[in-house]
Amino acid sequence: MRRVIESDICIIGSGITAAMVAEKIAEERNASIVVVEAGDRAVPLERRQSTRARFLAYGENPWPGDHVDGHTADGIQSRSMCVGGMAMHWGGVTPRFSPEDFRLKSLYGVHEDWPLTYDQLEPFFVEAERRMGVAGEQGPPDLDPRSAPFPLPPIPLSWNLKLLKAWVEKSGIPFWSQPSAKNSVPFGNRPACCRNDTCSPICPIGAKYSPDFTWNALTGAGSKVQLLTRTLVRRLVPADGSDRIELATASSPDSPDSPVELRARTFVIACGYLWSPHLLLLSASSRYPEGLANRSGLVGKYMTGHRSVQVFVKVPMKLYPGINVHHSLVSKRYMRPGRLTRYLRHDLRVWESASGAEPRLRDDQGNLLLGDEMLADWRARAASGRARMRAYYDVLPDRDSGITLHASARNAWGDPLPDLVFRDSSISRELRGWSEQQLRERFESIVRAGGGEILQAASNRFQDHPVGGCRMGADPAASVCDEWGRTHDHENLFVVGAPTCVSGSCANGTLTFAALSLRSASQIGDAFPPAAQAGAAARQTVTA
Amino acid sequence: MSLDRRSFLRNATAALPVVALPACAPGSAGTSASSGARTLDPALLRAVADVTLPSELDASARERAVTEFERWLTEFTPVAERDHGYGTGDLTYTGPDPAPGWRAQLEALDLESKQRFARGLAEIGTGERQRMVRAQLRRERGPLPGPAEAQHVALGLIAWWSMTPQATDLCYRARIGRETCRPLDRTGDEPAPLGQGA
Repeated sequence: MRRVIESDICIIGSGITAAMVAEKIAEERNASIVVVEAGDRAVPLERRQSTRARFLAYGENPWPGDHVDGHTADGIQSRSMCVGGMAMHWGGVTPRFSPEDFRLKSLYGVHEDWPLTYDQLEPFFVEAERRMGVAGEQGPPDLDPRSAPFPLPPIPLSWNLKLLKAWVEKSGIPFWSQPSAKNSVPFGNRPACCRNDTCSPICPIGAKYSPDFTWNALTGAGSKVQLLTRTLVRRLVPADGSDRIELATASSPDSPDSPVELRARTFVIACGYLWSPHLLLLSASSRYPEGLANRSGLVGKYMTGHRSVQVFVKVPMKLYPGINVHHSLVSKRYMRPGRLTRYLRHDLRVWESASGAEPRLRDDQGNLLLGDEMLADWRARAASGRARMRAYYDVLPDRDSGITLHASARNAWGDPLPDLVFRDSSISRELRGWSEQQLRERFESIVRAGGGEILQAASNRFQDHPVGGCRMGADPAASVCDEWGRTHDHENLFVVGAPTCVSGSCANGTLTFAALSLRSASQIGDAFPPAAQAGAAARQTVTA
Repeated sequence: MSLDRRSFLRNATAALPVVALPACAPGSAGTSASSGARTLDPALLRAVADVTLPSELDASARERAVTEFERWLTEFTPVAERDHGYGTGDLTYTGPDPAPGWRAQLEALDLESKQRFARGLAEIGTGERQRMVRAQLRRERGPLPGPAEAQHVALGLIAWWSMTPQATDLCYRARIGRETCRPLDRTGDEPAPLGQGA
């Protein structure tokens, strides 16, 4: 038995970029939309207090069942496959990429320019902030350019962050409240943040935006958006004699003998940096032996992220760790550095911390501490405040940084799994040691100005907030999709969000991924009539 | 037509409107299906708590701490999937049930006390009791473990208490209320001093 589902638009994946695309098109266009998610629904809001309680008490996963068994990659990745995707776990931090990110070649002579500018993306940054409900403080306009105020007032600085702001700004570097998709006031039928301190991995009250809220609002009875869960899309299939994608084939563990066939006028791949190129590579055929959208040979290539240097600092003030641990100060001073003789751009963030001032079982002399001794030792070490500072710096990717199909590892359906390897470009390899030394010196300079002591410094090998794999560009020989996410090779196939990025910046990427997706949605929607009163609906048939 | 659990949750979720829950709705860690046997001798556990938790916890605060620790142990689920954060595809699981080992350790302490002092652990003085516990922990090194990973019941109790918001408040002598629901508009205030009877 084969199940056929027809729609105007088929979106593969249900994370934050899929939610942005579906919501915008559903509002603005008369088009039926089917969203296909390999994983299950996430724990509903009503149960999040309980799963959070078990996370705090026992370290248990607060999102039980948020992955598909056996469907993973060989290499560093973040494992989450459920309705809402990785944005069910995210910390809700929403800086923008800076104007310089889009012009690295022109401004600094490194890597490549994007095929669009910050100014072209700016209205979609504003839209993404509005849709998610971003609380933020306008930074110095030269460092934090924006055309509209944040939709929500900033998350107020805690007692700790107010003191740390005065301390860190003795360095002459301006800091302000990190923008976040967390309600500073009730918004979107969700309450204001009440500092539960577990933003990542779970907000128990829904004050932090996550895509499930969008899906709950979009997929009610009679909606033109249909969400299909536990359905893994395994191939995209072009039409005979045409480069247009005709259908997607999918499988569900709930009905393994009944393949699902998804037919649509437009297909949107919104599966993140890892699974988007993976699907294109999996869809190889005799007509497309290297996979779909891959005439450039660049599907799965040029993946990157940002690495970090982090320090823990003893600061000369009394702080109270735990007032609002996930909120931070941010500065973009060094994201917008002007002329550079050697390329280094980075953000700066400051958090409260308890590092180095936790309770312990033995003192420095090795004496066992019980009861009052343990409390006295803890108090002595907690008498001076602690802060954490971190700088993300961007890593420019090598062409062969990314995924290939694994030679032997297969999922439950027998499909090859991704083999993921990040590789720096030659310039990033050459600059790495120097860059990290510069950042350590930056932190030392800040601590000298404010007073204090660096207790611990570490460089992180992990490349955070990965991007690429289906990068955009004007030249079809050097990119997978155009500036709208439309693949060069298939006019009705789009890739949205992180995979389309040319570079990864030095700040959390989610807001930029959302803005890029909304810009793609504006192009995808152009093929459909403006929204009418009566919504289109997906059609489903079952055939033998 | 019967619904399995997964189908029920899926259907139930789909039917729910977007609602704003009360911001501070209490959360419960729930109860493990096999929690019945996951208990320790109450008197012996309290005898250990007397010499491992700070004396600034008055009798009622200490009793609350021990009772909460007992509840924590009761609701522990062995080999549950742990949180998996950014940057790893690996799934890891909580460890085995610590209760049998901990129960045996308490019984051993009690037996040792009877051998040494002809009285049970709960009847001997706190000085002797603490020396016995110290002897048990003499090989423990490194940072405090996660409570369920503690090799000794005394260490499990200390580790559990240390991670509570109440312990942080006691250390800083302030009402910080870490990881509890607190109004956002009070975030800029210095936490109030801790009152008496922590």
